[in-house]
Amino acid sequence: MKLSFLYPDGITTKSALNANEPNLGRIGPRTLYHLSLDRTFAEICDDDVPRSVFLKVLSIPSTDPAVITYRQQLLAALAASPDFFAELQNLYGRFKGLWDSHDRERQAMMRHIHNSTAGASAQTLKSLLQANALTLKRCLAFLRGISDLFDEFRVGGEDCRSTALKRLAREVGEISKSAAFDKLNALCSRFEDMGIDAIYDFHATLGETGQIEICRMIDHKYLHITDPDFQPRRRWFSRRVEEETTSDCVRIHMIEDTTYDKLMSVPLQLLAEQIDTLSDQLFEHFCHIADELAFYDVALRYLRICREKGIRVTYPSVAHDQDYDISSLRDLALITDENQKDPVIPNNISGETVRGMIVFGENNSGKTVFLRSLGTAQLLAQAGLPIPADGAKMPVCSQIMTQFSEAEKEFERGNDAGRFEQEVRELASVIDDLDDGALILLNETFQTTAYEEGAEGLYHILNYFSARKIRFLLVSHLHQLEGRFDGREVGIYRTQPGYKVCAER
Amino acid sequence: MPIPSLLTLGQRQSIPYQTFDDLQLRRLLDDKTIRILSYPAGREELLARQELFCVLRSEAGLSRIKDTFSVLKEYERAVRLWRSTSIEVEKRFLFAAALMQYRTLCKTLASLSDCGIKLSAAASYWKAALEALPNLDADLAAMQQALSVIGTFNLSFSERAYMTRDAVPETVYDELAACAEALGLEMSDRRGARIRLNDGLSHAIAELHPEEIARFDALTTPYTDIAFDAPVAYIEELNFYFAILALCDKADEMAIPVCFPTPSDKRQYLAHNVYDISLFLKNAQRIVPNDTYFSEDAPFHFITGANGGGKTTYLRACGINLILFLGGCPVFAESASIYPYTSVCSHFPADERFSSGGRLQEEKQRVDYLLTLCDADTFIVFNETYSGTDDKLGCEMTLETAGGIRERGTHGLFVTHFHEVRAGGYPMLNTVTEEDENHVRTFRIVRDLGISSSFADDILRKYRLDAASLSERRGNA
Repeated sequence: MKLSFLYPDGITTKSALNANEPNLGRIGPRTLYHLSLDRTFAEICDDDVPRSVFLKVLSIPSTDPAVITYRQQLLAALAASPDFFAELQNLYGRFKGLWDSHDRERQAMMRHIHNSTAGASAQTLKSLLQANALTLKRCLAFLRGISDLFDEFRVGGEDCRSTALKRLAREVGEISKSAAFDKLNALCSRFEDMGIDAIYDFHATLGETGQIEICRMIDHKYLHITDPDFQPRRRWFSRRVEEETTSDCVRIHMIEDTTYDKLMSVPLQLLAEQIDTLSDQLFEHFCHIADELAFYDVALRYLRICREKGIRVTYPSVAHDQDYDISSLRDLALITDENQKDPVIPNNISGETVRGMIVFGENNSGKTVFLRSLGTAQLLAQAGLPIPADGAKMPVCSQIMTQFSEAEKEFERGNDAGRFEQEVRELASVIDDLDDGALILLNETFQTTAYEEGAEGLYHILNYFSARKIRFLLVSHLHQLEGRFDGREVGIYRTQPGYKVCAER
Repeated sequence: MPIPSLLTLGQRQSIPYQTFDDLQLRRLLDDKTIRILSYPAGREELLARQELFCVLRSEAGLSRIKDTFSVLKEYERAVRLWRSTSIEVEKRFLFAAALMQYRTLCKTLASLSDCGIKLSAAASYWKAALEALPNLDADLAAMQQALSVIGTFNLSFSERAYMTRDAVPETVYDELAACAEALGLEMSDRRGARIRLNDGLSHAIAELHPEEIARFDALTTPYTDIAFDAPVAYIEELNFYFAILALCDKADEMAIPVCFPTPSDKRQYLAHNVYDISLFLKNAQRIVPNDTYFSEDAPFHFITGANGGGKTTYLRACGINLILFLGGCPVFAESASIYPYTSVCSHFPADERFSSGGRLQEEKQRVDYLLTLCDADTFIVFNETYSGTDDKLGCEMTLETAGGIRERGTHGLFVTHFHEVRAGGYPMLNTVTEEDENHVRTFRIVRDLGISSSFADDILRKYRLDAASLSERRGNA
């Protein structure tokens, strides 16, 4: 299990960003676009790389309250220690760089080994071992660096409210302050120091078929070489040199280069591979956090902008009774819009027991902004982020889907339908994929046909949503829908002057 | 005393390979299996093989014999490796490995005493072989002990290479593994490639461990006369059984029945619902079974009927299942009682090379030769023989050949389009077609007086070569 800043139980997949973790919701293929979140966060963060990470996390909303709380705690802690975050991000950036370059070098080395017809030479494998030992040493150094950072900023201690930080601090501390850490470091240094005139000593065991099955490098101190005619130049791996006369040593004659090279290569390659395995485990366990920090980077920028603009944000709590209760919700797209000079009007969504909402109103009266603000809040909340509101209690939705009236795609490849059919097809595709507990946001749906017929069709679809306990918010001009629902099933909202949206009582 | 065989070949190779070709068996079975089948087994051997097949057709029996086969393969490999090396130390290790496999093999074979006559005989033999080596277990243990000493050494390479026998409490690898464990990391399970000794290393080992080498050699003395290669023959023999079982497995998939025919004292070949398994080659989804009717009263049949109606399929069903029966194998039928014929021959149309007399003459010569091989214990099949001449002559020659067969008392089947052969008074078989205008083939074969149509028009219409279609083509031309 890999340590993660996004999932309290860690991650099992290669990266949290293409994760198939449990309790993940889904969004529609164009939901971020419909809600203008791509544009909104481009205003907040102009760096494509962290922004794409951030949007990716938004696109896999969590349905697990524990995950949401885990992220909320971490973001709050990071917001409280910006210098720590900057240092941590810097350190992790270089840690990730080491991983990437090690991967590239390893691939190049493997290509070289595979392309050698006679296999890699002992000299090549010695170089591989030294390179891998250096990488492991540097990997260990990063872990110690991270541990030191926690100590320096006094973050991640018992009083820290973030489980994620406490866990990382504990794990890097346990590793970097252990005796094995120092021993491993020293071992790597010894591999690095292997010179061209080194003596190589091995312990070998023959298997059942009389072949050398195990051939492992050993320290020269264990051997007693008796050859009065010969004194080697230098002893590598030796901490104690003792020359004794013993009958248990024979000189090997007739050992041709290929056997000699193979005898050297096998243990060197094995050590190189094992060291690589250890580095990989450390990278895999700790280094995914580097990508995940990009999410928090953008989140912190979002908080900073809201603070600069005097917009209050709040971490929503999970509404176990499944009701929305949001006070003074603002639309983030308008907040971040540089052209928006007027104050952003807040709206309340509260106390409703209904599962469906239909918003009627004049053109340009704030219907779509209302829809967008709710959709954005839902996605932010399920990503573990605060929302621009004074207070919020929100349900967790299994899916957040959107269907917006769009321009006709007559000339798009494969589209042979008119605008209404296109809309129907898109909606059918969404409905085919809907789970119970989903939220679907519909913007001026079915207004591309005769309104009577559009309303009639939509009425049955909305009833279907209700029957399946699927939440919906419809922004519409189809007044034929009015009066067809009683208040228990669907709440009717109307825009008021000044971009307010109020429930009809 | 020779080792008991699981497959004793018959006296005479009396089924020509041409027959296997004609019946498509060469495409269903490998050459070694075909060779074994070309020797009809004889009644006693046939029953013994049937018994072994019965064991193999049971789940438990198959599992035990497959396990034995695996042991045999491992043994064969161990012996081969031992024989092939010239490196002294390696040879000793491989001898010990081969001897250990020998022990395992003897025990495995000795445990098969309840698996039919053949395996029971083998079990007794190998049990006795093992009992003749009373110190084998102790000696093998002592050999392993000596080898564990011989096989442990240290190498030191600088300008010169040395070998030592110092005790090494910890390798660098062990140090690394200990660190990894303490940090909660896992080492991979890679072990590194094996390295073969060369003569230099082998000599050094021998020099380093002279006492253990001498001790090992003394331990092997009682075992050097073992006939290590003998049991390897079982592999080929069991491969024959497995090849036939593979056909049975395919039949099982298609719900085709498999049975062990009763060897009959009377000259007869009576089978109920017999299948042509050569249709496996065509990935047929459904195979229609038929009955066979060869008896002393009706030893030889002509078969006529619709093109594509199943005549040749019937012929192959008769021939293939007969050959399998004669090889002691299961056959693909509901039930059967078959005389253990001593040979099976066939005559199929061939691309014959003209010498002096032309194709018909060549065909006649080949038929005449086959007739010289036939006697009352022979079964022969003909497929469309003499179709290369006119009706009258073809029919005459067919009847003449049938007369020769009748004189010899030979059993067999002749597929022909010469409907006039009915006049010869031979038992007739016919294909069955539906009595509608399309004459749909049922692929059933029944005893009948013969009918006079081959329904060739159906096939011509299908390919728009019937009269109406040709007329239409003309109109369009």
